[in-house]
Parts: sequence; C-alpha cells; structure tokens
Amino acid sequence: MRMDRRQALTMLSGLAAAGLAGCGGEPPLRIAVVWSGWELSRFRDILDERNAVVYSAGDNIAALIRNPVARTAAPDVAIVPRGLVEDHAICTRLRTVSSKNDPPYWQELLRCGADGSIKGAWFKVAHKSLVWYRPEAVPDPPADWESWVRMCESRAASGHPPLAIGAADGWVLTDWFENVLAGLDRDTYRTLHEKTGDWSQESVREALRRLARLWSIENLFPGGGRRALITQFHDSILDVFRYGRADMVAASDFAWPVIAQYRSPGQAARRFRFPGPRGRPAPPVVAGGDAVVALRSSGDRGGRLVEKLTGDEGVSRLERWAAAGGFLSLNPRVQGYPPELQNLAQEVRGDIEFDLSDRLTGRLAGGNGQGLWRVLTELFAKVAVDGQHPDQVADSAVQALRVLSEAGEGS
Amino acid sequence: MTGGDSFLFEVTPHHDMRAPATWHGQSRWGAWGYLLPAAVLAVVVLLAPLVATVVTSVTGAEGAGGYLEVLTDEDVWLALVHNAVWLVLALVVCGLGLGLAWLSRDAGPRMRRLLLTVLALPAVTSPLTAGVAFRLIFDANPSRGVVSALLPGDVLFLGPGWIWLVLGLAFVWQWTGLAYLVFHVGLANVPVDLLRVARVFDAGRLRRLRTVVFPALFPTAAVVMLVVLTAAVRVFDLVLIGAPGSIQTEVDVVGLFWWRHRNDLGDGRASALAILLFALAVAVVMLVIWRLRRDWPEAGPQRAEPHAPVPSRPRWGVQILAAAVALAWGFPFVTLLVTSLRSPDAVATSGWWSGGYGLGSYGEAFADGSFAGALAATAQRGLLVAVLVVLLAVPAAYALTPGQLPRRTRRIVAAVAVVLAVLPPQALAVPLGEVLGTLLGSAVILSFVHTALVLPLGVLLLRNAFTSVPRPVVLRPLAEGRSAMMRMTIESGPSVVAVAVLAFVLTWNDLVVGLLLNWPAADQAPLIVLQQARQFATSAGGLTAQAVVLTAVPVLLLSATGRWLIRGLTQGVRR
Repeated sequence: MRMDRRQALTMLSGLAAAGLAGCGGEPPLRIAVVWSGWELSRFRDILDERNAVVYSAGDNIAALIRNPVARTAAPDVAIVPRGLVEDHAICTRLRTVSSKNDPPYWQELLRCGADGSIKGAWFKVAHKSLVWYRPEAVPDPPADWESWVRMCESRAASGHPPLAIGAADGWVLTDWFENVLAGLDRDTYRTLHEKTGDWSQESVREALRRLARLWSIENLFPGGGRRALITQFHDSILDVFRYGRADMVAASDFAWPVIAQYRSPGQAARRFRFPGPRGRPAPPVVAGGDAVVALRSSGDRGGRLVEKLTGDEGVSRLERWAAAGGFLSLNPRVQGYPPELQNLAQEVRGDIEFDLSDRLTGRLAGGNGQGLWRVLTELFAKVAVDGQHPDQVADSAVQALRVLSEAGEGS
Repeated sequence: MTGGDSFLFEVTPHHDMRAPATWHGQSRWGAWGYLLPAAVLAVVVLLAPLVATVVTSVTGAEGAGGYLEVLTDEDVWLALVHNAVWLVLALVVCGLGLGLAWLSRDAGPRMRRLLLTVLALPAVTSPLTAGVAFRLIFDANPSRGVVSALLPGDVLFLGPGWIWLVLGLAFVWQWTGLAYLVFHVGLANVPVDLLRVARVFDAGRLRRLRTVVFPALFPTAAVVMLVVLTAAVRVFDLVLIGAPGSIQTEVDVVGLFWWRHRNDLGDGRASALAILLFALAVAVVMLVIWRLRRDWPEAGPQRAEPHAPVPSRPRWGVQILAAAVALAWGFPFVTLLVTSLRSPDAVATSGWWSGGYGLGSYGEAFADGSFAGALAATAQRGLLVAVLVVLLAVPAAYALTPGQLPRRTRRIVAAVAVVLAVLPPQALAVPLGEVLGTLLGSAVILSFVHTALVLPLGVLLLRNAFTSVPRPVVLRPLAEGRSAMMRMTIESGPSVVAVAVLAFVLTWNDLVVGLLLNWPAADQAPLIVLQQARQFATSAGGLTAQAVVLTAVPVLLLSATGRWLIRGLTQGVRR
C-alpha cells in the first residue's frame, strides 16, 4: 500500500514535470508578456523564433520577475510596462541592454540600478494625445481646449452627446489628466512622479478643474455619466464608430485597430491632437510604451533576442504588426503604418512627455481602486453621476492626491 | 445520540461504537501513523505560513498597532461591511435552498430530477464563469445585454448600487443548488414517526416545522452553511470579473482589498488584515457550529435505508413553479453557450438573439495555443491534487474513526480541520510565496498547495462517511488485528469519489491561489480567462468560449459521477 502510494506519486509528479519542462536540447527561451488575446497572437507572429515559449504573465508579471514562485515560469526575456524598471528588486535582475534606435529621452527612461546603465529597449510605444472623431459630426476640429469645451457644450445642448469616454478603465482617465496637465504646466508634470512631487500645486488643481468642468456638462456622454462610468475603453470606441451615439473619443493610437474592426460599414474616422490651452505653446505628446528587458539568467541569448526584436534585422517583421495598427516603433526604419496613423511614429520620437501614471510609485500607483486611478474615477463619478460642483470636486481630489503622495510607500 | 463524535456534522453510527475498546496489535501509535502524512502537509503548507503571517502582523513596523490601524481604516471597514452583506446573502441562499427543497417534494419525481440537475450545475461552475455570464446578461448596452434590451430605461445594472443585485444574483445562482441538494436529502430523512405523532397531537403546520423538521435539519444545515458561508467570506473572482473597474471599490471585499493594497499597506498591516479575514471566517464557522451543535431527542431506531421522499401526487402549481426555477437557473448557461456560438465581432456589437452564429469564438479562444496549454496544465494539476487528497485524507479520516485515536484527540483534530477548511489563502500567500520561490520552485508545487487547502474538508467528509459504515462490516479485520481502512474505504466508495471530484473541481476552477502566488497565467486556465476579460465586451466571444470549455469539464465529471456524489456528500449526515 505505502509503496504503491510512493510510486504513484513519483510517477505523477514526474509526468507533470516532464509535461512542463519540454524535452532535450537547449532549453527554450521563456518570454513573458503582459498582453493576451489579439496582441499576444500578433507578438507570436512576429517573434518567429522556434526555440521560445511565449506566455502571458498578465498582471503578475512584476512579481514573476521579482520573485518567481514557479521556477519553470521565471522568464528569460520579458516585455514590460516601464514602471517595472523603477522597481529596485527587478532592476538588479536585469542585464544591461539598449537599442541605438531609441532617442536619448526614451533611453534615459530605462536607466536604473547601481551601475546606472540602460536596462532595456523600447519595443512598442503609444501616442496618447489623440482624439478620434466622425468627420460628418465634427466639421472643423477645435484648435484649443476652450473652443473644444464650447463645441461640446453646444453640441450637447442640441441633444447630441458629443463625447464618449471609457471611464470604467482608470487609465483612460489618467490619460485625460496627463494631456491637460502637460498642456498647462510641463515643468510640474515632470516633477510629479518623483517622491518629493508636490500635488498641491495650482496647475494640478487647474487641470482637475478643467476636467471636472468638462465632464459635468449635461448630456455630454451617450446614456449619461452613469453609463459612461461603466463604459470600457473599447465600448467608448464602439459608441462613436459603431453606433454613432457620440461624435468623439479621446484615445491613443491603439484605438485604430478597434475602430477598423468594429466601425459600421463606410464609417470614416479621423483624428486631431488633444487640444492644449488657448494662447500657450502647443502641448507635448503624452507617450507610453512597453520595453523589452533581458534577465541576467538568460545569458547572451536574452541580449540577442532584444537586438532581434528592436534592431534593424527585425524591421520587416515589425512592419507586419505596424500595418495592422496598434503598434508604433521607435525604430525609424519601420514603415508601412496605416494611413490613419501616419506621422505618429515621428511624433513620439519628437517632443514628448512620458505617461505620468506609469511612473508613479507607492500609494499613487495605478490599478483598479488604487492611487491616481481611483482619485480620478471618484472625481468623474462626483461630477458626471452625482452632479456635484466641479470646482469643489477638484479641490477634494487635490486633497486626496496630497494625502496619497505624503503617505509614501507604506512602510 | 452518541455525544462524543457529534462535532460539526452530527454523525449517527449505526451500531454501538464503544466496545470492545482495544484491539490486538492495533496500537495508538499506529493511528498516529495514519494521521501523519496529512498532518505534515497541513503543518508545512497551512499552519507554518499562517504562524509566519501572525508573527509578521505583530512584529511589523507598527507592531500590534497594525491591527488598530487596519481596523480604523475607512476602506477596510467598508470592505468588512461588504463581507457582512455576503454573509447575509449566504443565509438567503440556505433559506432559498430549503424552500425549494420543501416545494419540490410535491413536484413529482421527473421535475425533481430536473431541478436537481439544473440547480447543482452552477455549484461546480467557477465564480469566474458565473461573473462572465451575469455581466453578459446585465450588459448596460441595450444592443447587447438582454436585460437592458427588455427594460429600456435608466437602470444601469452594472453601475453603482445596482451592481450588488447582479453580483448577489450570481452568488445565489451559484450556491442555491448545493443547499437544495443537501436539504433535499435532509428533508427526505425527517423522522416520519415524529411527524405522525405531532400530527396526532394536532400540531399545526408551522409548529410541526418548528419542532420536528427544523431540528432534524440542523446537521444537514451545518454542511451547507459551512460551505456557503465560507464561499461568502472568500468572495473574490466573482467581484473581480463581474464588476467594471470603476465600480470595483464600491463592491470591495476584504480578500480583494488585501490583494490590491498589500504593497502599499506594508507587510505588518497587510498581514494583520489577512489575519482579520481569517478570524472573520473562523468566527462565522464557530457561530454556525455553536448554533447547530444541539442534540435533539433520538427518534427511535434509525432505519438503515434512507426513506423514499415523502410520496405525494405532483401538484400543478408547484410543477409550474419548479419549471420556472429550472428555466431561470438554466438561463445563464444558455446565455454563455449561445454567445460562445457566435462570431467574436457579432458578440462585441449585438445581443445573442440577433444572429451571427458560427464557431469563430472558439477559434479565437484557442487561437494562440496558450489556452489549450493552460487547460492541459490545469487538468494535470487537478488530477494530481485529486489523487493526493484521497491518498492523504483516507488514512487521516480513518485515524479519526472511533477505536483509533483517543476521543479527545479526535475532537481536537476535527476542530483544527474545520478551522483550516475555512482558511483564506490570503493568510498564507506571502510567506508561502517567499518559501516556494526560494527553496522549491517547481510547477508541481502548486499542486501541493491546493492539496493542503482541500485536505481539511476532504478529511471531514470522509470521517463522516467512515463513521457511518456499519460496525459489523469492519469488525472482522479489526478483530484479527488488521487495519479496517481498506474495508471502510470500499464501503464509503461514493464519499471517496466525492472527495476526489471535489478536489479536482476546486483546483480546476481556482483563480485565487494562482493569482496570490503570482502564478503565470499560461499555466492556469482561469487566469487566462481573467486576462482576456480586460476589455470585456470586445473579447466576450472568446471569453464565453473559454468559459464554456472551462465549465464543460466539471459538468461532465458531475454527470458521470452524479449519483455517487449525492450519496457521498450526504453520507454520514444522519440517515
């Protein structure tokens, strides 16, 4: 009886181990990504590497690199949001790699650790300062924030909700905030991600007020603010380009594949730059991105793969994804973007500010019900659902942000 | 009732268990040996990390003040209140299950069987799938959600406030079946003699309910309430996938709050919160046991065979009601299945009644191969866990039968098992993750964590089954100085099957353990489903296809073993 049990155990665990480890030769390179579904399929398509296992680590990717519970799942190479590089425990596990195609500003974003070297290369970046619209509903795009707000007011008053917004996703709201703040006060924007960042500055308050005033406009969103609060990013795109329930949606370049797939037949889609305040210099592009990093455990193979994914030899493969949309590369040789996305790759190589919410740490860091996401979601709910006074709501949001920033990293 | 062994589930031995007290060659140490493997696993995987969490909670930066800080945090309070709401819902589930079981006595055998099937299926469905189904049904877009299409108005079911209705319905949908099943058996075993006596003395319907039926149901209710209340304390995946991101804080529960905020809480406070969650679970269970652990007078000799359900002619009104309940309970499954049989584009833009049928969503679900791989890995893990649980729980349960360990020891072990059965994984995750990451670190290890988490419930169920094995059957091997374990196992076949199925299904459906231990999504199928659900509407096609596949496996298992399962789950519950 006991012997049987032991045998059965050995056999079963052996089976399980064999099933997971694969067999023989050089072990496959393990590549962890945050994407799933469509993007994961795209990535597999362009990876074109026989001896590699690609898997979605999802939201667990940070912990998986920092302290893998399953050794067999510890990645050799990972494609991660930038915030992870800031994590000291992760940074020390990374090899020094970089891409000569990344502009200096972008390279600096990946510098970390005691040796201060660059620990990654940008694989996929995003242009977050765009507003997509139906040309028949918006004959002339607004030149600045003030005229945009006026346009929304008159359109809403005439009974057509002008704006769709995916307020169910916190990052949609942070993108709004970043665009408004970067237009108002770039210097403040640049300091906020630091631990000493002062969130009680007047420009932060002003940015929140502007958002609160816009979002409090009656009949601004299809179905009202209550529905906007539970509308996700993709749904907001459908509202505009599928159902025609709204005219415009502020969304990154990666809205394009969604528009292309789901728009009603013959529906045209155009875009304008997220408008800045009147009488100020044009605001910078707010950009985000995912970087490819190689772990020390990967040896030279990791470095080679980074080179392959971001360097010049991979250009033709990257163009396959670029042509499908939702993919901007910092490599200027990558061409073949859809006409709707022309020039965006150049713009993200130019005058940009990096996505603030991706750089926040401690209690301000994002996630559902957390940090900046939560403060903005509450601000949205208060003005768009409960109909509270915008300026007061903005003030209480500033207060909440100050509390979060002063609480630091917990203990 | 023989008082000593009637802890938690009132177990009625069929024969006198007390004599003779000692057996040839059957030493007390032998009994300890049976318990040892299970005990070692429980200590290593459950107790040691639990102790580590307790230690961290009092030695953190704030010391024991961490508890105070956590308890004075407004958000934690809100989460605690929400947990209380779920506990109330668990009582509703028990009441509803009892009511349905009571009604179905008059529904005729065929309708009863249909009800049993339809109601039991959600219990083996993962909360994740339940969340997907109910989010689809209550989709706020009138072009897609069936409720929004039928009730065009201002009510947004996934929005603030109303979200509770959606999640609550999903919970009730999921657990009522289990309550129904167990009460169904329990009601059939209400002592007919006592009822007859009560009727003779002209006791009214209500009075008969109060004095005879309810007391007779207490032991049954203990099983149901233990499972459902534990589910209520542990609510996690349902909220995570069922509520849109912006609404999540509105329906936060302690388990989720801990997961979201453990980093910014700091080690001390995070541990304190996890221990509080554990304490909540234990308090609830203790309350149940304390309330339900009352003896009630023995109603003459028990019959060996369970009674046939109270015979009665099917009544039309009841039959129609039962059919309506069956329809309502089947509806989420129909929604899932029909939605999965439409093309992904059609699912994203229109409701299931508007055509666009095809197998495209299944193509999308399996497109990149990761889901298929995860299914294989998850199934492998589930099988391993089922085997391990049976191998460990059978000897442990045997050690807890009369004649093995001393009576007091048995009671202590059983009490520990009850407490461990409700242990929320949040109380273990951090220390467990650290140890597993640095020392062991292989993919098989997750199986052992699952095994340890299912083990206490398995031991309790098997112990009840073993104790109710008729004594004469095991007398012979015992008298000859041999172990009666094999004999008891064979006699309790249905219970062993039930425990194995339970272990497999719990592992198969698990999301929480994988998520808390930072398991890669590619290795645990429900995690992939969760990843896919980030943009719910546009991925709903592939999502429902995956949910259908994920549900099909336990459902097939249930239909293959159903007969045994019912007997197995209720064996040892007074019959």
